[in-house]
Amino acid sequence: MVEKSEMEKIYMDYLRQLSKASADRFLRLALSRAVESYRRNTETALRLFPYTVELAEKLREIKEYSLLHVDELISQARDMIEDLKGHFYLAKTPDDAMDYIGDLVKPGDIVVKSKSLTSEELHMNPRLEEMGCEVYETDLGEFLIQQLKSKPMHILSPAIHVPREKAAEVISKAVGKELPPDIPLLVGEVRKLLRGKFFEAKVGISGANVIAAETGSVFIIENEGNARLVTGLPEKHIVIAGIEKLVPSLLDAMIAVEVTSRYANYKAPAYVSMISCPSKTGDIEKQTTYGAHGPKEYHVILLDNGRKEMIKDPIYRQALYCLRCGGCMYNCTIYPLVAGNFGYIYMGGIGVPLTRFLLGGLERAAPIAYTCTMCGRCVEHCPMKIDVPKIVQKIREEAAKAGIMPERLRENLGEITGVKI
Amino acid sequence: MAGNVLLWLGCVYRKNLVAEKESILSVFRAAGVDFETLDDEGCCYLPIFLAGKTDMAKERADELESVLSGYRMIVTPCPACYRMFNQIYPEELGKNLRPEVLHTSQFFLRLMKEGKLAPRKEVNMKIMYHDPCELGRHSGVYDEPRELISLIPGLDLFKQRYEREKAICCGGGGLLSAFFPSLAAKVATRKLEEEDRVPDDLEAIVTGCPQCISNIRAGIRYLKNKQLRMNLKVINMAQLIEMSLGR
Ligand code: SF4
Repeated sequence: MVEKSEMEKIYMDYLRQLSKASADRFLRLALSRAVESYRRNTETALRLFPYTVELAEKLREIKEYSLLHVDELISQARDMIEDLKGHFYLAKTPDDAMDYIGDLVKPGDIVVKSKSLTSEELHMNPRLEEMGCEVYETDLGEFLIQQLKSKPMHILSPAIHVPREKAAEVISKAVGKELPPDIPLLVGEVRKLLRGKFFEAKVGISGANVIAAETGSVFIIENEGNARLVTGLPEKHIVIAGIEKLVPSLLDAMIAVEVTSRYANYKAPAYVSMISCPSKTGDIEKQTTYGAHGPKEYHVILLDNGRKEMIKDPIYRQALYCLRCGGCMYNCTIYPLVAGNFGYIYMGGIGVPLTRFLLGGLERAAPIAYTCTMCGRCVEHCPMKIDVPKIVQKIREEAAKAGIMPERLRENLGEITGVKI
Repeated sequence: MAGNVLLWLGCVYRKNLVAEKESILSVFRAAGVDFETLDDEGCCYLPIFLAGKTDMAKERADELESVLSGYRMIVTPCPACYRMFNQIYPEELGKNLRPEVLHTSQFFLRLMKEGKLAPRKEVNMKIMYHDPCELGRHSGVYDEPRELISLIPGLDLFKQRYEREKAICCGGGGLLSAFFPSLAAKVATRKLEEEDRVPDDLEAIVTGCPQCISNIRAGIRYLKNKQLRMNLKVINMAQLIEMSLGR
């Protein structure tokens, strides 16, 4: 655990960051537009498909069951993936996962990635670069973030804080010519730039939205089509996902796909990819040959990294039901003022337990926990009805026990309540 | 003292909202309620609990139990205290208080229905009711404050975009206003402008929480609209009732 003085510095830096963000007019404007459009779209999607709400309740049960039987599901998925000639690896720590990936890449390799928050737990990009790889984020938002060397500001729309003028600057630099702030034109330029990279890439790395244990099939929801290319063009495809993404059956996985997309404000996402093994053909003499048009090698890495510890605790366990739909943030009290600054890498109220266990630790989770107003509005909107205030309360208890309650809170509370804490 | 009503004021009213507190006392008196207050009330320790100091909250609950059990009923104008006694005590601290605990909005409504409080005078004011998180989402008290407001003649009630379960937090909860007051105030400003979208001619926000009163007042100072910034008041139920009683 960190020293008290160091912790105070973390709190102060964090508060300064919030102050700065909340005073940024462009950010506020971008956020308020995003909030309104998210709410409008989700409302429409749920009006058109009202049964999604019931499906979400069912999904919560599926998720709970899956977490309580995670070891079973892991071995089921492993057996099937290996049976279908894919490779499976259960990584206990981010280092284990990176070691495994390290064996699959060579210096000079081009690596294309589609959106994966889990890969942040591995510090994947800088570490791949250290290994001599050239890494490209191919989701447009992630691409911008990567070029800006900043951090994602929303789990679904990472570049929510980047206006078109800024995007033009960044993309101009990347393609080496001056571009106007014209959105379709900018999108076209990135498409051109990345198209080549998809073909040159030796390795494609993706996340997963949900994984069906019975067949080991990975589902990826997306709109841009980049994940199709990442998972389809290079010779090797590596999936990195947390163990909480497992559900028992293909049908369960489809429920997760449907609920996640609706609450992520889509009537239907442009693409859902289901991937179970390397590409293959048996068209000549029924001889199965691996590596037809798609990847020849397929690896699924499931990451523990503290998740099993979370599963043991009934309050923290809920945090692993999270679908990363992003809805809570658009209905949050704090997020619309400061975006992902209310967070570490994982953000918002749900980011508190994820930061504590998966990426950052208690010292990074505590500042977020103490700025949550625990209003409970996100619970009303969350498809999984995750009780964020209760989780936040528990993290605060941990922080208080560890002696890292913020000093200014202690003082101000003393003044208000007359109690010496 | 047994058999009496205890008016438990809570730290914010006792220390910071003195005029508002006086209104509460005067409504109690106007209704002829036989009640007591405590000279050495102290904190309910919900803030201490929320800060993460569960043990201290537990000890305080043991200590307070003997004081509180002497009463037939506890009435509090503070939703934090209300939730502490009604929900955190049994659910988190293993304590079941004997007396019934009511929020002032519930108690005043009872008094009105019993005819002990008769708001008659028209209050010609455009108001909005704000659901405090501790009272609404956390305690499920949505109807009584609304019914109470509906019994005051003359009011013009503005309905904001999100109410009840979906109401927008003012930013004063969860200790944010103690940890980072300037951000809490900005939350309130944003809430009024972007979420509730209050009209230019709104005159008062009525709410049942002293913490919300303080924080929304802080947020009003940053409103873009000058008229609102100058004129918009934040008041509690007792102040509203007082106006209607003709004081
Ligand atoms: S906590 Fe709930 S609302 Fe927020 S991202 Fe996860 S599933 Fe969506």
